[in-house]
Amino acid sequence: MHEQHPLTKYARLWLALGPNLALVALAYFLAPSGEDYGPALLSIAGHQHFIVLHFPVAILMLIPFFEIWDRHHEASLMIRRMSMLGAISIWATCVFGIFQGYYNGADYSNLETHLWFGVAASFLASAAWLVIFQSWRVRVIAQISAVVVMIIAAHIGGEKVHGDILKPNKESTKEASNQTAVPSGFLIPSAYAAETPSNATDRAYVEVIEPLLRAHCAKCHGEKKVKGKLRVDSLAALKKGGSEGPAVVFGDPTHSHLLQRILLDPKDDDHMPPKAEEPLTESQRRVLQLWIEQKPIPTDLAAAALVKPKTVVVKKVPTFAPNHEFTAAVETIADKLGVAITPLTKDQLAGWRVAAHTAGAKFTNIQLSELTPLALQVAELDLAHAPLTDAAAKVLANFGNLRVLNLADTQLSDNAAALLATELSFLENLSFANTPLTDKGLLALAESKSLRALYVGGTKVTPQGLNSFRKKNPTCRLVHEILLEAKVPSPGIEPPFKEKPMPVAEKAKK
Amino acid sequence: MQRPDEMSLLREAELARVRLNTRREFLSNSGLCLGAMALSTMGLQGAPASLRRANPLLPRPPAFAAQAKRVIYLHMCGAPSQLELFDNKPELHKLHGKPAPDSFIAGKKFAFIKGRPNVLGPVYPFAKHGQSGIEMTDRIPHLAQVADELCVLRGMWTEQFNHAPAQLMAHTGTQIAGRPSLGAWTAYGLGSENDNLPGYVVLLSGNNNPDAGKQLWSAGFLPSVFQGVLCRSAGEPILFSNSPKGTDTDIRRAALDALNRINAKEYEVAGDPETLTRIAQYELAFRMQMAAPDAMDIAKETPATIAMYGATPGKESFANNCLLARRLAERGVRYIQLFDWGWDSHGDGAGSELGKSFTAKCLAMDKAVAALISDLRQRGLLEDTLVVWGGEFGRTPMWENRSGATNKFYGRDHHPNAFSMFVAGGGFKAGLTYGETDEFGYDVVSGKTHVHDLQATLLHQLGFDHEKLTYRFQGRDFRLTDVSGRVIKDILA
Repeated sequence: MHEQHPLTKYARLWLALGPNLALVALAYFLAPSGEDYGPALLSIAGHQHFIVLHFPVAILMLIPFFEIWDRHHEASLMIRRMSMLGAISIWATCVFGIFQGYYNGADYSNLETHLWFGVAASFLASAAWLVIFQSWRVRVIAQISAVVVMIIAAHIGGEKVHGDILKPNKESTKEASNQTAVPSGFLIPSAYAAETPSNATDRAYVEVIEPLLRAHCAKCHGEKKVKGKLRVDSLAALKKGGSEGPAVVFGDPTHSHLLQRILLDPKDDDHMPPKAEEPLTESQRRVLQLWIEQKPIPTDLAAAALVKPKTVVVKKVPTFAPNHEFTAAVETIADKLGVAITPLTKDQLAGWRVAAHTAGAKFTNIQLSELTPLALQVAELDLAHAPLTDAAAKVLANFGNLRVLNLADTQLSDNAAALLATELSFLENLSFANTPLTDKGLLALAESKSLRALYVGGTKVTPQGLNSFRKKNPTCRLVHEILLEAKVPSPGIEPPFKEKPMPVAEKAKK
Repeated sequence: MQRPDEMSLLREAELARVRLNTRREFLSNSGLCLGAMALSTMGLQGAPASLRRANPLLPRPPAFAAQAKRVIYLHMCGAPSQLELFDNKPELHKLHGKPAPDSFIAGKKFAFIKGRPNVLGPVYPFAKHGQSGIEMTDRIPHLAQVADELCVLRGMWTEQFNHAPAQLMAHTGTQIAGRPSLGAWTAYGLGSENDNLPGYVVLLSGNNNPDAGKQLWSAGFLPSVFQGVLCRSAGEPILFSNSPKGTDTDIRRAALDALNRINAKEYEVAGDPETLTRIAQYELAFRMQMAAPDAMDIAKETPATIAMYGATPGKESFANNCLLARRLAERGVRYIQLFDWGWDSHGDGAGSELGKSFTAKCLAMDKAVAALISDLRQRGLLEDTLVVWGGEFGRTPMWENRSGATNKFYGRDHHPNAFSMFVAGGGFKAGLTYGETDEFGYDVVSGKTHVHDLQATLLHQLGFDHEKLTYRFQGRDFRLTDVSGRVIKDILA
């Protein structure tokens, strides 16, 4: 009645059992210890765990669904194949998972449980394949038990990867407390003094040490990663320590591994934090030492050691329409006026550069005003050599998003400068070279808060004007011509040698 | 409205391929280029608008936001001696005149040196210049005054020790002729901002062409519109672009219009991009007839500027070319390549030694390059212009002995292991000395920069990933840096 399988019963039994026994051996010998080991290739293989695991989840869960649907005494060809694929894929997932744990230093609570449930699920999936010629009820029981065990394993693993998404984020609320000011005087560590030190009674810990450790160490020794089996996110965990022993022994700096490791030479391989991470400052190391020694910590030192929240300077930037359509209308304007329009980036988020090179001497105030419909999309405008006059400044005032403006060799001067300084609030880079600009216009430009570089070579500005500009606006780089005055060197060779030199100079005269 | 002579030309072309399209079909099939037919009016730049839009030299955005928009590359053909300019090696003095140690010659190949040559100490005294303290010899006193604008790369190296292959390596990324040059890649990537001038201009000086010849500004397998256009600072600025005598602009325009229609038709049928290139080049040549003489006329500069460069209008010189380079840069030319011949200081003759002739080369170069940098700087152009200076390789710490005995004049042989270049502007760190050679200037010990690395970094500043700016040719994606090159972030501001 049953179709004959090409393999004998025993061959199939060993085929199902063999790889799984090997899995157990692998899990035993490559037990996760929290350290990174071994070759990069296996470390990469370890990362495949997170990709491969989706296959058994999908395949094994589908099988009982089809079985119950069919309720046929004989498993269909597809179910048989899926059963085999499911067993292979969960086995592979386990192998990669073991690599991940061993070679990538994964370590977290329940990792062992995750591992052994995974291995068990692999056994059960193989068993489900082994019983594929039994009645459908037997098959479904085997399949569902494999699925159930797999779900338990997957849940534990998933909690590790996605746990911080599922749970409310505690860290964000803690972040705000970083800025707590340290009161004047000394912080007296009390953990040592008190019989049962707790987080709450030790102000030094709560206000300085804990934020410091969280910011600099908890990335690898905390909730998400527990390298070297050490966690630093609670007092108890610090005292318990990691694979090498306690991290903190109050009053005993030599046995406090945390202190020993951070005080090592930064070039030492065992130095913490590792080279790639942000190093601790001198005051931070000092504070940790005083705390472990349970000595009073001066508040100014504590303040210096405090982890400062990174200040993000929000700079005002112009906004441009992204993916602005380069319509036929734009092209017509460009062609008619003889200007080149180039988006500064492909997404156009940095705006356009517009250069009037092609038009050259034909680009007057009138042509400039015809560019106005595009004004707000222009970030850079190169009008060098265009015969523009002061009246052009009124048109330029419409280009509110301009960042770079080149007016070299135009006829714009003081009045234009005054208008541009007030109207163009994003203008960073302005060239007035070879224009009739005088000190008056220069000082008007000093009022600009956005200017970073101003070029005034070949103008009528005086050294006094340059000086007062620099005094008024020290953040802007003011560039004037360099006077190239050099002593021309002697034409022949002045040999710097002690011994008789070659008569080169005489030879060359011939 | 079409003129009868044009119709007959068009008919001729059609007959040639025995295709009898009716005019109506012909128009209805018309695409981008053929739209030109319908337009009898000319745009501001002469060519019909639709033809302009088909121009392969239209400006294009870079792959990512770029620091630099144009390049002025000053190539000193023959390879100037780094030991007499930028690479200060006081230890060499101690070995001067003594036989070179084994480590200099064992297993090494040289272009001319035979057996065991003597060591040649640095010929000129070095001093630190500017706030940055960049070291230079007294041969380049003007450059010393713009020291704080320079990023000196003392760790350059290449594989080639003969001029032509090393020059090809520096400009096309390989020692074998036939690949596109950096300028062609730049024009291919960014197009040109000026419709009336070529996007890639080449200027020569020094009474001789560079050793590798025109291959140095070739477009290789890129469409030929991206190749460098050789211009002159004296006489007719662009050869063969003037109309013959008796041909006025109107007749020339009419002839071009007819030709364009035939080419457009050809493109319709064959779809060869080289046809578009041809149309673009005819159009460019026509517009250059008007624009180039003005852009190329350095006599229009103020006497002070001309004096600052040491230029002499009407003659061909490196200084003229530098001044011209600035004029072209501010008019939107994307890539300006200067070659100055005569830096091959072997010491085998009075014209090629490290004494008088080297000093003369230095003085002519020094003043003009310093003026160019200062001039670009005061106009605000240096921020987005890459000014690159350098030779194709370096020169040996040994005194050349090509005849077996030490050469009669101070001179050094070709040396690919270590040489110095500098870059100013374009987002390179100003006032930086990057890279170091060993105590004798023989090998690079830190900041090692292969010519491919420099090319990758230059492309990066122009807004391109050198690994992604590619062109498919003969079944393979080619790129400037072939299979190597890395962007040197340390030298970027």
